[in-house]
Amino acid sequence: MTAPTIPHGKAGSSNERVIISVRNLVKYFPIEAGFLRRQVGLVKAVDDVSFDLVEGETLALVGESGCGKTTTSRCVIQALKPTAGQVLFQMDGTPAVDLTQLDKKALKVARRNIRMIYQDPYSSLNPRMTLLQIIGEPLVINRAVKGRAELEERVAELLRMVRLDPGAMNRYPHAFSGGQRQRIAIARALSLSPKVVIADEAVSALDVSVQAQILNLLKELQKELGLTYLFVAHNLAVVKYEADRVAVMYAGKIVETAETEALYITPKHPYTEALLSAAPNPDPDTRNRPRIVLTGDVADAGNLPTGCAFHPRCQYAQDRCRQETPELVNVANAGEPAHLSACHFAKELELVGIVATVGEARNG
Amino acid sequence: MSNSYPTSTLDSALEIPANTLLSVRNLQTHFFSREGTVKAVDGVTFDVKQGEILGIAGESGCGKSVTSQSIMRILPKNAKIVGGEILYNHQGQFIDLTTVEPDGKMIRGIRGKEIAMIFQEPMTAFSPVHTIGNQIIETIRIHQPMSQEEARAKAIEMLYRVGMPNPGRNIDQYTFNLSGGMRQRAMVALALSCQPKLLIADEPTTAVDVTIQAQILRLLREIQADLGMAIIMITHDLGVIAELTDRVLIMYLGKEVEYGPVKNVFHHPRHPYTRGLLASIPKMVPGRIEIEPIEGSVPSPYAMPTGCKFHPRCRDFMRGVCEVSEPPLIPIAPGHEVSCYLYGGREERA
Amino acid sequence: MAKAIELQPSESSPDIPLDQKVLVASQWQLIRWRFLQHRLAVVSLFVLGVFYFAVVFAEFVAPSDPELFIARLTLAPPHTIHFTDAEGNFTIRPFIYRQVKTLDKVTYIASYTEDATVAYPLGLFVHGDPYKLWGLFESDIHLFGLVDRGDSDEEIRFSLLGQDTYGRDLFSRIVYGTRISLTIGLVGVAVSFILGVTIGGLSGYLGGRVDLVIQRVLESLRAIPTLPLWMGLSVALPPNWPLLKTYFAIVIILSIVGWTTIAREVRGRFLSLREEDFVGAAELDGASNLRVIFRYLLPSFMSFIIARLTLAIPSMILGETALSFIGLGLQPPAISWGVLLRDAQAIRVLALSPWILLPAVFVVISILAFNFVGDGLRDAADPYGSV
Repeated sequence: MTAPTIPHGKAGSSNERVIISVRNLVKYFPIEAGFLRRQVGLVKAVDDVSFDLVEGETLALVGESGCGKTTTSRCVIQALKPTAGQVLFQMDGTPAVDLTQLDKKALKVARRNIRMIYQDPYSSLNPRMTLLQIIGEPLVINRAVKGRAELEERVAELLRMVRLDPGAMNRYPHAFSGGQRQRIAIARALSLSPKVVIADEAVSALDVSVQAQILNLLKELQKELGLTYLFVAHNLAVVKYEADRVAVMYAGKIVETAETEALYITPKHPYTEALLSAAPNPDPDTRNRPRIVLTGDVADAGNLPTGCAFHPRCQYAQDRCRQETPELVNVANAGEPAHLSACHFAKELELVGIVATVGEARNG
Repeated sequence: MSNSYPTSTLDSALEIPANTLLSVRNLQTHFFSREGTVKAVDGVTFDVKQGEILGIAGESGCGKSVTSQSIMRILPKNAKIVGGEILYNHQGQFIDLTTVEPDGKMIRGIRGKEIAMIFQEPMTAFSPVHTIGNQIIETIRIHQPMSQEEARAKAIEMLYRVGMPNPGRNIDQYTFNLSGGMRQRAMVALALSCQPKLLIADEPTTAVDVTIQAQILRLLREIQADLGMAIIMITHDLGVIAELTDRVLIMYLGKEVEYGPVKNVFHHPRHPYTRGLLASIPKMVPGRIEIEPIEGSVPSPYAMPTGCKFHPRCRDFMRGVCEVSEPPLIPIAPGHEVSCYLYGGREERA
Repeated sequence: MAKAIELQPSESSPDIPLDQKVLVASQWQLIRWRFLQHRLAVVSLFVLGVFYFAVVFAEFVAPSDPELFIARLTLAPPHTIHFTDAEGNFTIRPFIYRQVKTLDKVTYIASYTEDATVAYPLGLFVHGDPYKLWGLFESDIHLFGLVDRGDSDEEIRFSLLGQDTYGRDLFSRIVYGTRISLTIGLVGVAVSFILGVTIGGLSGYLGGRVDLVIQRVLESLRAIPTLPLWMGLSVALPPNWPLLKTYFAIVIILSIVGWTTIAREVRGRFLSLREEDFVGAAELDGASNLRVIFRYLLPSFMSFIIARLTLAIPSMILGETALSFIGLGLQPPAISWGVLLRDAQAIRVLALSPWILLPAVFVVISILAFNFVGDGLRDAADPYGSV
């Protein structure tokens, strides 16, 4: 595979292998109107997105509604067909393949290694199938097991992995709570021993206390099974906990990518700064911190501003921002891990991230 | 915190401090269905002072929304307030809202005018076939004698106050023409159009992007300071509670679990559930802090545990005590109460 | 966006103890339980069960041969069932008296009186007119009727609901009528179902141009007014066709427009189901299109379809009854409730012998029964309903 576009790790560390490389991904949706459904415009849901997913890491795609993170994740797994761009997938020892170019058969094979967990635990499981059938479906379709006994054994093993009672495999989803259903969804995702799991807002619809269970479960499974996660979310605190690297998206583009701590403590894009500032922190002492409150609404991907899509809401905007679309470039100092930002003034601006609180809130 | 807070048993004399706007006492609201009775709210007591912001926090099924619906008397047909009082300070006199006709003149005079409500989904607050202006003006004129032009001017002023861009034009828009953030603002404008004394906000920012949420929260803070309005903020997001509220009430399965000033509850949480909740949410601070989930899941309301509702999931469970009977509300500091046997209450149960 | 799912009581588990039963209950079992809670639907199902028993065992259930006419008893009223004889003694076994017809010499109106001297006891499982069950099995046992014909040589039989203009037993004819009236609906609905699901399913699942074209065709078909269409097509049927051919022709005529409704519903369901996460997950699992359709999409609304179909049957029954009533559907000697009602068109007959209208009552009962059952099924199959 060609050298990754982002150098990884500290200088000299070359044991990090890129497993998925998304290059110039584009997904446009036509806006149709009229009786004959003529195209009158384009929704640029994903507009030239590139990133690398390193084996064993958790990369988060973060952003607000309409930023394109879910569409991107669907394009990676080819659930949506990209308008343009490449999704290179390379497993250890095999040559890289471009998922966008694969035919249905080859894609089916590739999809054994890239699996997805959905947001809504109530609609992602077929209510008319038992757990055995739901979790066993990928195994049966891909002929990974021979006979019912082997199927039951494998499903029991998967249920144990997600900390559910294997005896439950003859039950139907309606017997389980939201958190338990998400575990079932995770078991289904893991059934073919994949390398990459895409978690599309996998904890957003869960109660707070259950969210923590699933987040920890995902972390443990990652360690046990050597998984790579693409974690799509909008909750910044959850992302901070779960991700190794974070990519912030706005209006179909990535505006900043960095290692988690670096992004949160020293953001290099005004949008990231605003996001971090806006995110509520469960500590009453920080409520009076200086806050950047953006004006206006999130950019509409069907009607984007010129130049930098964020400039109408940006407090640092200059003329250049209106005229010229910024490129995503590495603004880190030499020798430091890569920190990409799509802002003309990334290096000059002194942006504020999260700060440590005085008096930690963990006593009881 | 005032020291004239009565202990939360019904038998004590009703000593309500003068600047209290709303006093809910041992509220019980039950849902009746073919499958059985759900005690959605089972004995909740709290006060809201004039101009203060109270947060009601809890996870799904805890009864926080039902509490607000009980106050406004907008419960669904199969629900009923079966006990307790909701004392509202109406022009100096306390009236019990549970005894008022659910659709009578009294409550309609209070709803919208003195107590207003905003919801999670602004589309449900507005009629899809009327402009937002129509509805705001109508609300204003129902409660205050005013001409159409005066009401319209007031409505535009309200929209401007809530930060609606181009209020003179957008007043004539329908909700589906507006973006999510603008709809939310329109809903706030509608709620505030008669300058209510109390605003009940039921998950108003749950379905909104975080930057819009920050706008709405700041808006609420500003307006609250401007109008001296009290707010009951209902949410499951402890971050929002920490950002906005003065006092917080934590609910679990219809019961009041912990109640006190927000700083105390967050920095020194007493109830194992509160502690568990706070320990299980990821924090926006540098460095990595492990989160500890609460074991188990919320039980079905038809199969509620005996005694303390939280005991099956509680780390500090005391056998022979917690599953036997429900713990009373115990004051542990001025204005800070907990419903947990760890802090006493065992002597009262023989 | 995060949305706290406030647990509404109706979404929760039922009063039935949360034991193995509910947890391993399949969707069908849940539907059956919910259905059984609808008393009206259960009663209606029982009524339909009785009717369809008559469909199958018409020869057995009917006390007489439907074609056998007793000329001297035309338009005779229903026999009164007596339990006490002339002396006032109570007998366990009910009996009937012989009817005597007297003709008014002036108005020529016939009237019937009972001859209390001749009594015929009634019984169950009696011997009566011989028949061949389904044309195959010979027998002469009837469900009920006269125990003993006595030694009179005149034709006599138990007439529960009276006789028609030709002197044929109305009740027996109604029973035989179920065979056509109640099955035409089923066959018609089956045809609608197959057409509707196939075409609607394809339209919904494939989407795009295919969907567009099919939808416009459907809409054009639906724009044609139903009754005139039925009437027009029925007129075109040659009157000398054998019964079976006419029967199926009527079925097809009734289904021509009926399937479009199902097709639209199926298409709508498919379109929305296609977007469901679990369907997407199945596709990502590698499931083929066929597997997705049959294992994921169809089962999801099979229960709903069945409910809709049950509600579509009444209109078919009414359609056939109406067509035959006005003479455009089936013709005598075919026996259907619509054909029977043709006799009721003459006002004179109707005024003097109101029991001629009784087939209409049976039509109403069966339509109501189907409606209640359909309602019950629809409520039971509703995925948002409580268990």
